Amino acid sequence: MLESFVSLLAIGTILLAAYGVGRPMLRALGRIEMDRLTAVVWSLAMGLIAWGMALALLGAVGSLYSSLIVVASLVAGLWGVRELVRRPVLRVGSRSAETIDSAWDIDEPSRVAPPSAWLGHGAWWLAAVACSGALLGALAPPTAADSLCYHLELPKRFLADHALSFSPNGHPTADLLLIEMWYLWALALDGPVAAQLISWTLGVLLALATVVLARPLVGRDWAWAAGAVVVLVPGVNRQMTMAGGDIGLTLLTTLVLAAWWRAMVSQEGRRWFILAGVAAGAALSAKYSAMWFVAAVALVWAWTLARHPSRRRVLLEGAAIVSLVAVVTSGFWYARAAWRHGEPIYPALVGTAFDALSEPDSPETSSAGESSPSRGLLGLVVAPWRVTIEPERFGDREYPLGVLFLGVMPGLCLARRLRGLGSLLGVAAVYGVVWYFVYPRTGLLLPIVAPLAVAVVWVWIEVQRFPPRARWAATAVVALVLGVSALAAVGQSRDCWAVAFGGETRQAFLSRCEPSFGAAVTAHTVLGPEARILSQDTRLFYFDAKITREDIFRRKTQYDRQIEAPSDFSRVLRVSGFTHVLLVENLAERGAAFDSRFSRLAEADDSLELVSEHYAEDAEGGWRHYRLLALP
Amino acid sequence: MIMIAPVRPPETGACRVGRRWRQARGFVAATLLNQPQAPTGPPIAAWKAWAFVGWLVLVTAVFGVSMLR
Repeated sequence: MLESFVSLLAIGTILLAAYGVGRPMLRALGRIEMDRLTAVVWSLAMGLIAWGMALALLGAVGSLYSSLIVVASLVAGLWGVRELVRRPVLRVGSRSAETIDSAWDIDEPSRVAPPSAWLGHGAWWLAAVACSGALLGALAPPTAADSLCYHLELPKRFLADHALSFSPNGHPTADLLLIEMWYLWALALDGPVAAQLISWTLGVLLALATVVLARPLVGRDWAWAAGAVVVLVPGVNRQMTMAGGDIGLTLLTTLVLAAWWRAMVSQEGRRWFILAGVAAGAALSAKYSAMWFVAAVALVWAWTLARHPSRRRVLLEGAAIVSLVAVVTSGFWYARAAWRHGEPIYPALVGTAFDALSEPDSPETSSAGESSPSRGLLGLVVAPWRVTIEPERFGDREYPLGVLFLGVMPGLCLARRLRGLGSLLGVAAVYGVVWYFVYPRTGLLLPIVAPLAVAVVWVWIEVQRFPPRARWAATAVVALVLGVSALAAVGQSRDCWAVAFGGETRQAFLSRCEPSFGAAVTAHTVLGPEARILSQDTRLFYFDAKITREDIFRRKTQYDRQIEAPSDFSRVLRVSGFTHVLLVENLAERGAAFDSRFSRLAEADDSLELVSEHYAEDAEGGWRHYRLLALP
Repeated sequence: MIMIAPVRPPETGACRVGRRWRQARGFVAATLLNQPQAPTGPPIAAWKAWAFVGWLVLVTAVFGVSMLR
């Protein structure tokens, strides 16, 4: 329990430090009309982005020291407390109601009747239950493959090297590391659990950012329902329990939409373009797939430009402002990628439809089996059905969107037109099309969850015009869906309750739930500091020794082509500086499958000496056999 | 002329129960039932509403079965 409390304290320090930096930055932009919630969300976002850039610059100059980060965080945290106590948040400014173009347009949110008490409070109670379940999952030590592979492994290496070094485990697409800088921050303050709590915090911020996005369209009361819907999306809730990249990207793209809508649709001033540029730059610093999102926004922007020639000058100025600010915000990462690869964009194409020669990202593939759907127009039409009902065809079942969007969105055909909603849905539609034809993985659909949630809420507002019995029937089904989502969020974290509440130590939890932990502990016990391991497993985080992914090493060096005789295996690896190899195989029919090339080469060389072996069950029911072998 | 307020007889057990019952109904109504709302727009045709409900039920049922697989 004390460990969990310390991790929560670290997150609290991070949030205060972010607010302490972001609030003055927001104030420096000048007077922007925004309510308190919007000011808090933007202050935290600006602060997180600024801290990420500052940590990246520290890493670039070789000054990534945990002690320095801790001291700076405490100082900024105290300033954040001062900001909260002494300076009031900007007050809301009155926005003049605009005329309604037609009787079928709803332009003024105040004309919409507020939700009934039980509906509004009920949605948020369910969201709170889901968040609590996710929090319990986040308080357990990380065991997700992606987290241990590079989202936490890279920050760990950066802290060990005190610099933003080019890791040998760096996947070609892992050059945009803004979100990893936040994980690095949490690792410096506490450890991997605090880093996982960053992800949970980003999920809560995403819900609040959705409220900020929805408020100008559907009013304050219904906007909170939109925030609740986002948290109850199963994929979002699961991402809140693991250190990954998708939920951070989703937060940033939602903020882009929120600021862009205020500037372009609601015309609330040019300063909103600056905020949109900052968020866009941060999104482009998080993942390459943010380019699709930016392209979708640009396309809708161009459409607006064509439809409203009288506003051409303002829109073009806004585009210039957003572009300039985004380039300044994200430029460091692309310059670094260009320095490493020779150009900054190509790594993004690995594994996509443009990369015909791509190899699998990891030898650990899901046992669910990925059968890519055909990417024709017919496939695009049925994609919403398949993504909902068969998410395993688009990656795996880990990040499903749930049934609410597919079920409720057709109600837009019955609803009146809501001014501004078309722009949001236009961005979502363009992004969805690009997603489908370039890289259809379910996790990459999360950036459109927020605008879809706003549409769901608008349909729900219009459901109030249904006959009473139809309204009650629809209400019951939606309540059932949301209730099951909330309960599922709690149920999926039940393995973590004991360690979250202190009934089980973190080491015992890892021994039980993380298959690589036993091998990592053994390696730490028997190996010296000079050991270098070439690993078949991608779960590297818990190994203290210098460890390199074999699949990435093979892709970079083609070392297997130098092996003509079995004995060449150990010679080639020794020349490359390795002292040990870590083999892993799955002895069961279920669970992950591993590429056997490496283990076949190792087993053919008789000179390797077995140091230790370890058996462990993984989360998918596989039975893993680890062998640590010493090179002669 | 002196006006005398009407004498109110003491509350009987039945009156007390009835008052509390009215209070409870009012509490339930305020919590669970919709608040009096401003007009939300023209009503939607019943067949369209029930078609939407049917689609919602169908999708939810198929999704539930697929998740249980």
